Amino acid sequence: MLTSAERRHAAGDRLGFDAAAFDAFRVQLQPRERYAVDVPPGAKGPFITRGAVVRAYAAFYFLPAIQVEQADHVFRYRFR
Amino acid sequence: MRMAALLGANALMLVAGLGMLPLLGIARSWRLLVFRCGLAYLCGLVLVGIVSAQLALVQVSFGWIGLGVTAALSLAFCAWRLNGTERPGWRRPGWTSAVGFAALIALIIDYGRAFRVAPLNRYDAWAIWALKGHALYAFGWADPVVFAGASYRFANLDYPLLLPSLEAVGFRAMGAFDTRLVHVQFLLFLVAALLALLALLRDRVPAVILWLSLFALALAPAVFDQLLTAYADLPLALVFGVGVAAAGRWVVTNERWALALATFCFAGALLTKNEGSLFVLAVFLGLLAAAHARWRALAVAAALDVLLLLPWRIYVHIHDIHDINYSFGDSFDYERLRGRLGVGPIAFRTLAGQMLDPTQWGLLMPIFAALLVVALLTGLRALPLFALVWTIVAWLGLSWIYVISRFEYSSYLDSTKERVVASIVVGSAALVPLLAAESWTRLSGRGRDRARTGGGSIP
Repeated sequence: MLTSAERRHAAGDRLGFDAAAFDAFRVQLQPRERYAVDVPPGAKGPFITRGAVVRAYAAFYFLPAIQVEQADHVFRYRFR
Repeated sequence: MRMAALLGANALMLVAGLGMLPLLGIARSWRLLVFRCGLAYLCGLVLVGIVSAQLALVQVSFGWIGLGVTAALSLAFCAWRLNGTERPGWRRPGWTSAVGFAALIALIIDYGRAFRVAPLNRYDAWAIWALKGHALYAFGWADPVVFAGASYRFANLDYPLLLPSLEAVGFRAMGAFDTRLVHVQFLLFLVAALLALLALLRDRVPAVILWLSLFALALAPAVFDQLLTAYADLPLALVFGVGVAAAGRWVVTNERWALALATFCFAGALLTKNEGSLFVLAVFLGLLAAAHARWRALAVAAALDVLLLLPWRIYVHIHDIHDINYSFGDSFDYERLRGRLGVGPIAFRTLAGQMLDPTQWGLLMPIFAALLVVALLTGLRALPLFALVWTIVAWLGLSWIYVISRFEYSSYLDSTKERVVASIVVGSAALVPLLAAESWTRLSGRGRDRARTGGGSIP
């Protein structure tokens, strides 16, 4: 049985993302607040880049905040 | 508590589905309502899915109140429509049915141990379906800020909303975006489909054949594995499969309610995934080939399905949303396709391999193919023709998608081949009991008796 934190991070852990970075940004967000994502493209996968996967995961993880292409509030993520 | 809320919401969906039985002409008396009540749960899931998906486009959220009102309307409609009709009598269930139900309950409980704890960690599950379900739950409707937002293009925004709407109904019922219990809803799709197939075919197919067919489907490894991913392919396949079985019954018996049920299920399939359009088109072509004299009924059925899809297509058009994977319009771009035509045969063979893979689907497809041959040899024409046409068209259509896809074909094929065939396999498996029973009837010489008395016999 997974803990609630493991469950919350299940998708990100599978992708090897740094859960702490996502959690730290999420606590700053309000519902419907606009934010943008700043992430390098990273390695190219079969369909999209690793950076695009980060954007997708952020869109999922930060809901009900809303991802837009440009905003004052920016989530910065770098690959280790 | 959340599990109880989710199951409570599904119980209301079942009640809502009861009203669909007299509405679709499936039950014209209380006796038939009880006899075919196994169809109610799937009808309720599809009804709530369609209604909540349409309401999501016009800023109306569907939760406990919606479920309660729909269930109450359903009961009132049953009471009004069936007033004064024949009441059900008590019949002792046969041993086969008793054993079948006991084994089915045991199987679902066993599956449930995995579904109630599974993590939501597969890409499409979170990036497409749960993301949209969460957004519908959080915003109350298909707010274009997400559902047409440039930053959300990765989420296949052109996919229709039945599945995320059902997820959102569950989240509203539970009062939370629960990434664990959302899997239980997928298992409940399997329960609903199995009960529906049982109720749909029990008066046409001997109980032993029917139960064996249902377990062959339920025990196929891919059914468990793919449902657990929380992807839409298996829910699509299950709803579509019941529609195919109903369509097959209509081909054989010409009962109007069977076509009505098929049409309703196909509407559900159309609103679940874009690929649903291909499968539904394939089925209507199959029906036209097998029952062309009844083309007027088919035209009405197809028009109703298109009508139910229309609001979503209007939303897609208004917000200028495009498919990021492929466009059937590219089928006419010869310059682009010239270098990719070789992909077709590769995809065709690869998908065949997937459908025949016993580690995925058991022997469902070989049994289906064998029964097709037997049916033809026994002199049956319409049912095997229907089965043959729709499966071939769907198979060719799926293969064509890889030709016109914007992705590098081998990666696209590799990552999707296991699940895209689900609707063909499940739809074929849903026809297996009917093919077997009709062939057996022919062989045993009862075909002439049935033709003389018309329609199916109801105990």
